[in-house]
Amino acid sequence: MSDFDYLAADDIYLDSACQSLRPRPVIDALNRYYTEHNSCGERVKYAWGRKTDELVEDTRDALLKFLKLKSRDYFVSFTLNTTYGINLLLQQLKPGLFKKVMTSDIEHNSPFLATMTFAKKAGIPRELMIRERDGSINLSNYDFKKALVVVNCASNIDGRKLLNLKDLVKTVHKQGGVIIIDAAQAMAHSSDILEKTEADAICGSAHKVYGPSLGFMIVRRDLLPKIETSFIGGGMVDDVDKEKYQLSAESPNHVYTKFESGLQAWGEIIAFGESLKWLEKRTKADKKNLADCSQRLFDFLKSQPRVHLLNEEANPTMSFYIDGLDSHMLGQALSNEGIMARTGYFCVHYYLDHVRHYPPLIRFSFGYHIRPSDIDKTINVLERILG
Amino acid sequence: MVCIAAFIILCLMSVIVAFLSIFRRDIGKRWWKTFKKAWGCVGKRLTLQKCETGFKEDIKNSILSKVIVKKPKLVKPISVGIEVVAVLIVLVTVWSLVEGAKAGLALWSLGTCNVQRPEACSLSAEVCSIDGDSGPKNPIEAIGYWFSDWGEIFSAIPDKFRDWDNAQLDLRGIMVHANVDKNAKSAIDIFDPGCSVCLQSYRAQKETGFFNEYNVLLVPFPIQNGDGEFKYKNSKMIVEYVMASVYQGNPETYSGAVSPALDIIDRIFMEKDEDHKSYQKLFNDYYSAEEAEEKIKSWLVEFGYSEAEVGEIESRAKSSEIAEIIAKNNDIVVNNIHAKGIPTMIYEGGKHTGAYKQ
Ligand SMILES: Cc1ncc(COP(=O)(O)O)c(C=O)c1O
Repeated sequence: MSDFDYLAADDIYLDSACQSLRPRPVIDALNRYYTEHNSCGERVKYAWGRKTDELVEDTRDALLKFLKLKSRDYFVSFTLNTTYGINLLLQQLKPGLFKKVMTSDIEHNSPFLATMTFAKKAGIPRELMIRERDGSINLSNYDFKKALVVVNCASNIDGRKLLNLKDLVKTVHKQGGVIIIDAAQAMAHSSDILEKTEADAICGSAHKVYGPSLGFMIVRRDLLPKIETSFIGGGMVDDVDKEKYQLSAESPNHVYTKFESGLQAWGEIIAFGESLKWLEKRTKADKKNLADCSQRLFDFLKSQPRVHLLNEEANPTMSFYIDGLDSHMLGQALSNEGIMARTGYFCVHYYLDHVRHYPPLIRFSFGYHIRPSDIDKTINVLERILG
Repeated sequence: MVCIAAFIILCLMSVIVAFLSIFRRDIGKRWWKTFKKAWGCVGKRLTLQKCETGFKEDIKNSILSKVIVKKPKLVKPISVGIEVVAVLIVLVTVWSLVEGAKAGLALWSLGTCNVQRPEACSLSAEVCSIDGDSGPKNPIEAIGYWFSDWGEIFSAIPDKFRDWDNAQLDLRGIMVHANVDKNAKSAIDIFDPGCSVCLQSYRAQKETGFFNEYNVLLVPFPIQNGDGEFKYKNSKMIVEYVMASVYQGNPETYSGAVSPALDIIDRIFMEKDEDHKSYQKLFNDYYSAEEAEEKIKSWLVEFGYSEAEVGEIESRAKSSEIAEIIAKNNDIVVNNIHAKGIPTMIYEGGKHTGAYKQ
């Protein structure tokens, strides 16, 4: 694909679940900010700054539009990454409002650990929900009364989705709970599951959505009364007296400043807007190529008796291990062949290591840059390894 | 197992890298990063925490990853090979630790780190060693020697805690009479007239007044190695004459002050002939057995004995009586004092091996 023309034929990048490759238009947008209107957003009146503010606003709008959410109900704040967003919320949610905090067994460390510290701080129990093989949660098994729920809606192990997300959100709300979604893995290829969601907050990473290194939070406006601001500083206030201040977030138009302390990564925010635009332009053929590549590799891995594939079905993210061969060693061997894949437990230590007792795994994760020739080569190398 | 081996390699390589960094900072820095990670892992493992990939895996993986794609069949044998090498490294290390401990213990208890060849130990004071026999001839014998070394080491350990008492040792020799104070503490100095370290020691003792400070019994001891050979070819004869002279003065005790006997020792250690060759060297390297004996006899005349007395000394020197005295001294030095090299001195309740130092 010409948007990834910088990718050499023998470079096979299979780690999109960690960071997508960035298409040209995104890189160009970032460069344009630096070379054409480098400026402090939100603070200045000169032309470059006004342009920056405009484009940043566009990104906020684009993100809401991307998930078909209304700006009347939600606002967008930017931050460092998913982990930071989840922590910003959990560190500032008033702990007294909750009777327990809940997460699921297959979570990435970022919600998994943040819920641990929240439980400790609030002095409330933490409950782990079991995700079914299809990714859903059996709601009848749990009581969500006054619960804070933090779960992903797509796994970074095998891409399995939280299929009953809508029902979960409804149930949690009905029982007086709050639900935060870790959308890190869903945004790039499964964003449909989040469309029109009513969750209280959604945290994600632009770098997993073909965007620059950046985190975002989509927050329901009615969650704000439950937040007690404690990360604070420049860019967040309209007025400051000796012992008190007035938060800009009190005005509905600047509510996003609630979580944006200090100068933001304006260039990255703008380029993220570009990546969303780019993503919406993916054609049927692009999508088919991604699906076909995923299916081919899935079929190959599934057919190998020595390969233990964790996926139930094809997905751009696939994890496996090979009997008797150390995955880290295989990772190095693949790398010698130009194939870049993640090895280990991908920050899901609890589930993969302590619950399933898997040895370290290999993960292949694809993005739209994937070429059929990449799959040919990968299968060929794996065939040689498997003998 | 690989883990311990890797730890050992890591230790060695860290030292090498530290050394390398002195000359090539850039290379050192690059490697240092790897080692820091590896050491971090060692720390974690020691505290029973998890570490995703340690140094061990890094080494093994980097080797295996190079062959698995091209020659997957080799992965098994190479893995086994790495494990075997690891076991060997562990064995060698355990072995060298044991050897190190043995050498250390021997140095402490026997005064040398090499039980069979004390002179070969560069860590101990310089000595003229009393070597074992010519050494093992096959591996089975070597194992026997290894264990007998340990036996010697352990049997010498009590010596470290022993309060050495000269009277109990019952050695025969020449009393040096320079000391005016008869109540001075006593000392024993076992020496071989042919031993160069004994020469240095004697000179140092004279210079620093050792003989004025102690009542010193000089015990002449011709070093005989394990295979029965005398280390210095004329020493046996000299010691026989010296001990025969001592008898001339002290027939009951074979021990006491006899100035001609002391004069012989003094001349060998202190003086040179007209060609400026030290007498010790001449006796060791130049004089034949006959020349050497003639020399000693001429000195005895020079030091005051009549021809007849010298004849008496000569026949006594060759008698079984003197041979027995020397053999008894020898037995005490080797089996009681456990001297592995001389000079060995006993004073202030302690055993001291090597040249005298104040
Ligand atoms: C499901 C999930 N949650 C959270 C994260 C954390 O993302 P970040 O490292 O960008 O904070 C990841 C990253 O892989 C993820 O896959």
